Amino acid sequence: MMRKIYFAVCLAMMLLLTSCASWDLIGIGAVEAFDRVINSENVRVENTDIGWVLNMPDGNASLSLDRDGSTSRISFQEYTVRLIDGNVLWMGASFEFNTTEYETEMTPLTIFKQILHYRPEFIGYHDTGHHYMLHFGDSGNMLMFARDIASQEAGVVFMLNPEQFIEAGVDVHNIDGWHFGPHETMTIRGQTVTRDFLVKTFDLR
Amino acid sequence: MMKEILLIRGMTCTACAAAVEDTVKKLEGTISATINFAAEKLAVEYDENLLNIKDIQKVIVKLGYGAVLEAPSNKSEVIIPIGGMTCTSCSGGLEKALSKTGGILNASVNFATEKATITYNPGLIRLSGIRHVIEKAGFKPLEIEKKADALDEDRLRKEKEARTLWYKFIISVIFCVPLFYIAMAPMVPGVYLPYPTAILPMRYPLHNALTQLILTIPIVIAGHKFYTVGFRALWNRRPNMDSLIALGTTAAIIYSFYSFYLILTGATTGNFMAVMYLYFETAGVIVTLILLGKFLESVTKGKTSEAIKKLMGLAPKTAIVIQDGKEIEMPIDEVDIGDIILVKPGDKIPVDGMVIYGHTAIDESMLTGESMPIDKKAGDKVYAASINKNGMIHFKAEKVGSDTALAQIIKLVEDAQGSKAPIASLGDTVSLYFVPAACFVAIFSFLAWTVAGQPITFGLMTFVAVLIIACPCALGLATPTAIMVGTGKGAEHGILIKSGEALEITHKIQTIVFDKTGTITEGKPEVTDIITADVITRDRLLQIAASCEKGSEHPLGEAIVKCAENENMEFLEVMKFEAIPGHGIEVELTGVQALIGNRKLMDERGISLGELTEEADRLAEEGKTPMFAAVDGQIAGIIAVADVVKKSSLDAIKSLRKIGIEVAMITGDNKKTAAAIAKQVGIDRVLAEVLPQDKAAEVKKLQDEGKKVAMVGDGINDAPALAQADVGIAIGSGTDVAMESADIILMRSDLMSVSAAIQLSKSTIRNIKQNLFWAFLYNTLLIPMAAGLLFAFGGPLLNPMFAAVAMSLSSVSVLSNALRLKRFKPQKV
Repeated sequence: MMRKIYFAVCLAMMLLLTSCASWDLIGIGAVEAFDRVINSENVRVENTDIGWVLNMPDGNASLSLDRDGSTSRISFQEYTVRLIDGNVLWMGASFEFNTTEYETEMTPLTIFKQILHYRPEFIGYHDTGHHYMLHFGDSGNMLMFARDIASQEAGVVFMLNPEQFIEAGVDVHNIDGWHFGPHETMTIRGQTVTRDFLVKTFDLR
Repeated sequence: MMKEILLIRGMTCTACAAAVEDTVKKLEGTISATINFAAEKLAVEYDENLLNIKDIQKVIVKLGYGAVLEAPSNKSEVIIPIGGMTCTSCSGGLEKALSKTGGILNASVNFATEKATITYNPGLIRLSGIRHVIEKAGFKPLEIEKKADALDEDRLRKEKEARTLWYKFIISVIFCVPLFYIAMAPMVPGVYLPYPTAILPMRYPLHNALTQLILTIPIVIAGHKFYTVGFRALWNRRPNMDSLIALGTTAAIIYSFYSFYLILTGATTGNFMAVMYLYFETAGVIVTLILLGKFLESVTKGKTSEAIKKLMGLAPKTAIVIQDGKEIEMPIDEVDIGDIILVKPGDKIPVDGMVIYGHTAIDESMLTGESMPIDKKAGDKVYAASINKNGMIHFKAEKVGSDTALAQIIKLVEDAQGSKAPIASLGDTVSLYFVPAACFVAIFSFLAWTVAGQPITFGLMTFVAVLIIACPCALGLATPTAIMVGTGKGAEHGILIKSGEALEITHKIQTIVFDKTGTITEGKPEVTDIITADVITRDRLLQIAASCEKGSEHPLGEAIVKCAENENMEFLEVMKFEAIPGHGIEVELTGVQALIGNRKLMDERGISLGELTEEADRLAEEGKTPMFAAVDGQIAGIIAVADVVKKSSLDAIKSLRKIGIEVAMITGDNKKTAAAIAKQVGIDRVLAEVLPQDKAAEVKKLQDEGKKVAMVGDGINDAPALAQADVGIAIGSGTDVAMESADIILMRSDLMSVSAAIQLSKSTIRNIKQNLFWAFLYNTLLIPMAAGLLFAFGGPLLNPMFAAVAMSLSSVSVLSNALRLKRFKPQKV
């Protein structure tokens, strides 16, 4: 009898755990770290009709968080990438998700919190670089931001899956401002992998 | 001085047994203490002025074991429901009446439950007597609640232990499998195994850690005995195998709690990777596997002692006793010496006794291994547990309870199974020092790797792995299990080995000395020739000789008496009788002075043999023993007695010579007769005309040649030689004194059992050596690997979980190897 009771208690505890957001330590940490990015002196925040744009220190790249109806979106982009042949290249990635709750007060942080609420599996932590990660779904693109932007050189990192550029014939080794090469990261399941990325890093110190 | 036997509970290995024995020995007042690990008993002798049995029990309990006094055989308890009581004065009166009865030690009558609890001495009063007292007091004794006897209690206890271990193992497995999966699945490189998102370690590290912790707790509860016994032993500075398991798994759990703390603070410190340094599954798997090993051990140990259980189960529970002309079926405990017992065809003989009426054939194979039923008639002995085949007999009980041959055999086998062979002391000594040494190596490896720059978790893993793999339980099991199976197997074949030491020495025997009469020969000589000198007639000579030998126990004398009885001769009155050992007898009959004996006796008394010398030589050369008879100082004649050689003797000796053993024969008989018998059975070395007191000296002479000598005999006069020999082997048909002096008793008179005993000894020792080899191999090969020595040179490292697998496997493989001995069958030539 005692054994059955204990088994039931264990099961209940496990179910409880799955629904207990306050024990989501990585989520809590990610929100706190993103809040520090938003409030960084080196990040200029602009309002738009549908959201906000966080402009990176170099002035060319930005991080957008917007809400359009029931769709929320987070994206990063750079508009003025010039290639060797003179063409201008738009570099960026976007991640959209549907939301069913309407926040009375929308801020960049609340949109980020919505990701945690609706798509928690895409938020992770990379121990080696001490970065929180936001996977843009299965696209292979991700946004990384430092746990402590005040002490880490790579405060915000844009990471792009280079496949689409390679297929388009772009010489990924020669994109101004972007670095191409193997980088260690973590998958959604938490496994450490090394893949080729196009990477742009911003120091927010 | 007091002697008590304590039943010790909770011992898991020989280190535990050694701890109990050593601790009790050190008490002031203890004279001696001997532990029998297999039987879980401690025999202690102490000075009651200095020490109390309760003090001894306290000390043992403090070590972490149970200690209960074994119920003395002269004390029994019974609960009898009583009918007819109407008030408390009835119960009070009955209690008084019972307490006053001789043989009843204590009586307590409870009116409310209507039961009487009575402690009594079965040697002084029977249950029927107690019932009679109750009836006389005016009440009715109802159906007695049968208390399980010691055998049932022991069997039930062991079954319960095995069942408990099995349940604990199942509980452990139920929680260990998901725990292992949760811990290991994310680490499988390149493979995405199904995994609950809610506890993904690098996404929800706290969920993951909590889940692992929750799953670990019931496993630790299931294996809690390792911790309670292990830490207590460590505290008492007598670490045992449980200490190793407790230390190792506790280290893993404590470190996991530290990682848990790091995860908890991870939101601010970012120490989420600590989720990769949880080792709950290591502790869980180790405990689970050790529980499995323990369960298999308990099952296998039960099988190793199957022989003794089989013996114990042979005796029937009831007997039909004839009382006042009526057949009364009663429990076997109530049968008394002198009772007349009826045995019907197909029934088992309940106690030892002598047939007084009827004739039948009795199957004694479970006792002696002799497959042919033996005819029994009035005057023949019967033994408890043998099976009555086809006739109905009445016999008189002569030995009951612990005095029966079966009980003696069981005690003998039990003692042998618990005794230590010299080779066992090697395993015991190593086990004793192994545990502290393992702790030292574990600590050293942890410190060495940490100082060498490896992460602390690496050192921790080597620490845990060394403790687990170093467990010496296989080493401790190697010898006792083989001895248990070996002695049990021997008992099945009618070979009773009294000690592990005897079992070990037997395989080293180089020379076997056989007594002649009763050992090589049947020991039932018969008169073959009566040759007279001219001074006397044949019948007169036989009459005188038989009258002289009437009081003799010597087989030759008995043959002469039997011959005279067959001829319905009248015996003369013996006025004076004197036995001259090794020579013969001198007897004064009515008006006649007679000397009966060998040639030596005649020579010493100056009696000329005359023409009978040639006759004597001729008879001797025919293998007969000539006994000279002199009447009133003159040679009267020769009575030749011949003893038939046993059918198996020739084959047995051939078989022994085939395995390289030198065979000799020793006898007090004359040289020519001895030589003739020796020739018949193929023995070259004959020691004839040896006086009884010189037999031991002859054995010693052989030993002084540097040989290990065994002596096989059956008579009182063989006892000194049996005791002198490195191994004394008594034939079961022999005297009690011979059996008492011997190290091995052959229940059958068949000499092939001697060869079988040697083969069994060789097989058992070989098995022990194999067991020790495997036990040592596991430990010696895997400890360096566990400590990381091979890793330092680019080799593999032993994960603690694999260490637990290996450790359980080592115990199981040693036990399984010991069980192979059950297949032992003596090889015939």
